[in-house]
Amino acid sequence: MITFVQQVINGAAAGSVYALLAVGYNMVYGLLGFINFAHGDLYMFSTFIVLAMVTLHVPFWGAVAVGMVAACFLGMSVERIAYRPLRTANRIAPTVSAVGVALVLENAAQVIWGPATRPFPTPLPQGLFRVDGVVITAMQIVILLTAAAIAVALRVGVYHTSWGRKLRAIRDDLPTAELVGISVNRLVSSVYAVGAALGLISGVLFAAYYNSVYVTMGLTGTLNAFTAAVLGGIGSIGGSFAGGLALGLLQSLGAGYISSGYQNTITFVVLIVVLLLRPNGMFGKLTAARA
Amino acid sequence: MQRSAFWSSQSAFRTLGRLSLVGLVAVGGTAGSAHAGNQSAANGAQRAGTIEIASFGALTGPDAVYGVSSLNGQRLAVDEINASGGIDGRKLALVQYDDLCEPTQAAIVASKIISNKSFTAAIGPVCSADALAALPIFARTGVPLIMAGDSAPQITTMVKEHAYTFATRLSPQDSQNGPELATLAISVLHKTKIAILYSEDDYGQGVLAAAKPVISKLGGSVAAQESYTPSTTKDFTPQLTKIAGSGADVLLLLGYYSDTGIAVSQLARAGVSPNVTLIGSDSTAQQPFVTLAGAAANGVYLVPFYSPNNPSAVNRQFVTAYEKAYGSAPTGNAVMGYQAVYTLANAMRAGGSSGDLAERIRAIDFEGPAGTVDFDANGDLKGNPATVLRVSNGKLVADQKLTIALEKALKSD
Amino acid sequence: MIIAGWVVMIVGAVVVLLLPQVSSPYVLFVATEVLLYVPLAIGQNLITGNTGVLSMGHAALYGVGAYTTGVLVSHIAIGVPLTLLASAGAAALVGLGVSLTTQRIRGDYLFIVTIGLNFIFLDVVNNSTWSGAATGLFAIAPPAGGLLAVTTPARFFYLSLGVAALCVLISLAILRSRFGRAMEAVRDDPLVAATMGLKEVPIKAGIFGVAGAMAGLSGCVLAYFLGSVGPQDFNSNISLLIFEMVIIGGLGSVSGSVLGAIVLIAVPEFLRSVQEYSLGIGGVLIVVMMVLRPEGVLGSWRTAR
Repeated sequence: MITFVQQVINGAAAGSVYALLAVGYNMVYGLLGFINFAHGDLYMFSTFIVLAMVTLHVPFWGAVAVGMVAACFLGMSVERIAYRPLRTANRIAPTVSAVGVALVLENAAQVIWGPATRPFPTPLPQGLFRVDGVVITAMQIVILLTAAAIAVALRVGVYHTSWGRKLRAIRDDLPTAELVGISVNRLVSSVYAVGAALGLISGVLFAAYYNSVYVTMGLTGTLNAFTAAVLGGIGSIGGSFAGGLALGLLQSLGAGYISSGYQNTITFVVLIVVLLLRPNGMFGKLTAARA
Repeated sequence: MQRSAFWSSQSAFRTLGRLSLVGLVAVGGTAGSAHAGNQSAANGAQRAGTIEIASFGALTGPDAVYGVSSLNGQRLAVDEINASGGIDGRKLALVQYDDLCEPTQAAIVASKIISNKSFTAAIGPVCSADALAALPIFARTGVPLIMAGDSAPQITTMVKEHAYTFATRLSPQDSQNGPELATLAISVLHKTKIAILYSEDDYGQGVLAAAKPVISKLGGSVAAQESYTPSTTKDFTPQLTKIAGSGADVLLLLGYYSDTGIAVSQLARAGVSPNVTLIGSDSTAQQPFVTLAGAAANGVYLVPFYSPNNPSAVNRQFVTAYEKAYGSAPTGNAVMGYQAVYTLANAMRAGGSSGDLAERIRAIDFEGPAGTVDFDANGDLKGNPATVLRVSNGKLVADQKLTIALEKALKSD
Repeated sequence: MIIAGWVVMIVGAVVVLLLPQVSSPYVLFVATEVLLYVPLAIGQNLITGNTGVLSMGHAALYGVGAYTTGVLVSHIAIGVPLTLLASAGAAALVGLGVSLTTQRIRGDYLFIVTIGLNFIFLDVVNNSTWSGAATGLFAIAPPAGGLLAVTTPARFFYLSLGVAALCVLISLAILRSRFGRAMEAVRDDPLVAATMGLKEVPIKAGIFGVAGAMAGLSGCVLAYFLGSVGPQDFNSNISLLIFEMVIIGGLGSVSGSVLGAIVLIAVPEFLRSVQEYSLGIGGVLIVVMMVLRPEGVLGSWRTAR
């Protein structure tokens, strides 16, 4: 019984890391329908910047602030250079140019910081509580709360502000949005800035929780975020939060009770079953499927 | 649809036309580049009288950390040899190729190396599957190949079966490390309920396969056996929680330091009791393991192929030089790369310019930082006696008592 | 114009056929690798370019072909033609099965499912003894003297050229047929296609089967070519590479897929000399190509968003 509860708690903790990744990923994905393979590499790069600052004895929160600014700048520049010219092309074209961006960032990070996995020192609480033999860590609570707070803030931002209203107008009908005077370029640019900033928060918490920063953390993160977003339902903020939690629990219980060698298989078989029963994910709207 | 309509149709014709144009450009391009590459390399070699060595391994992607470590060791050795006047006045030059740890890439790289006549020898790769794909290609020209990081037993089988005398292997054997770990746990430390965390690659599976028969022979039992995807898995809590619940009193870590270091940092979170003894395999037994695991690494036993605090003079010199050049302690891959270059250099010196270089490599016998370098009839490195290390206050410290006890226990089996 | 086309074609054919006589093993190996990717890119193009299905797990089908040959050769004395057939058949069945099982899943949802299938394939071969686990299978050699039992790089080049050419022709034939028009009708507007009596499920399943067979052929040749089969050759980066080939070459264009295979194999080879920066330069080139030609170099199909 203790083992089971422990698996659920650790699964939920890993799940809240995925939820955090998925909510940030969903920022661009849900609003612009763009499968962004560079999302993870963007936060990998900016998390490395935070680590570099910390190594130079910049106070941690100062380093995070610098990383956040760098992430926004990087997100906006990448959008300007690699995605904006492709906005009218078929929707897969920017996906591939995002792969190009990911390669550039990965290469740059390896040249600057080397290929080794680095530990990530943080002042975040590392405490550990025991309740009836079950272990809960302070970091797990911090991550879960941060993910929930970001999901709520995004929900408010997208559905209850004029910024969100304009964005939804762009998502639903770009030419008309332009016609009614919405400044599409500036808004889309802001989406990438916010998306990258959210990415940095998840990158820092990921690095702190797993005590590791490494060059290839981007692609794995992107795939997990994408899976969680799809599991929850494309375009649903609450869905991507729930999808992340479900993904963490699945991996934890699948590896714990079936087989650790088939962890991915278990995850994806469940994903397929969920999608067969609900083709638009757990919380997806019917219109969300795109060809 | 009529067949004839298809063949004479405009669009099909256009497609075929485009195809051949595309093919022409590509063929011209590749051929030209290969030609240019060969020529410049050959000219360079003649002009400077250098000895060119091809080096290949994973230099990008998730396994880059191991390939780059090996390359660092190779570069250090080359610089040292060149600084002391080279070999008979000729300087060594490394040309490195990335194989991404993918067999197809390894085959392409091997073909590129054998196509370039100016290479004296080749060193690489860091993944066993790559070695298996590259060996038959090197066999075409017989250019000497020193494998510096491939521990799979299948390589011995292949080398033996095809009498690949050009190949030697300068890495520890899974078949040696597996039994050492099991014997240390059961016969020396008297822990019989064994949990195993292994990487789902040829290395982890190889050490596991070698350890299991010894575990049952010595009367131990496997309480839990869990795997993870190397370089990808970061959340080890499902495996560790299961291990915590299995009642095991010892945990064997069969994997590379980048992964096992993170796993050990998560032990407390998964509820693993601090009373569980930890034993790490040779690829875990590296300084970066301690860096990643943090305080949780204290008390972990390690059975390395190579230990940076080996007291021999040649090792002390190597560690100092390596730390000066790269700012960190050398890893097992680094020492293998370093020894590979010295193996080649010593073999070239031994016979002057006469005789078969591959034969002389196999006949080599010298002291390297990781112990004696000499090869058996299959070109495999003869094993050195194991040292047991223990992590204490964040440092790897040799444990003489356990080392002697392990040696005794291994002999008595 | 027509005459110029013929001249290009004939000169191209002569050069390609004579390549093994004049070049080093390296050029032949790279050319063979390109040819091995041609059936993969063409299959991916049939699925994504012509039928409009987002899928990124092609390396799994490639792997099914390679492992089928690897397992057969290590257990029974079997000739090359039979393993070609078996590999094509096995991969076709897997493709067909995947398409039929996931017939209710569409769009981005199917995209992630196919990415997942690649992971499932890797889990299976990494954890099974029949597949040699993580080390893979080795000593895969054709029986001496059998039909197509090639061993030299030059003959491997011709064998893969034959397989690639066959797949190009099959693909052209399919696209020219009634079936090909049905595929594109399903892609352009599933609703209209349905009212025309075109059945989406069997069309998609059929195309996954054909693409699977092509990938299986490539996998079979790869197994003989390397003499070994390992899981790392079929990871999701390979699926991504095949996907990129089709997008960069041009969705829906057969010659574009061939060009994509050439570009994405040859360019990294050119960049080997700048080793440390090769990935980044490759990335910049991908971005530049997409920005200059969003529809791909030889593509014409542009979807509305």
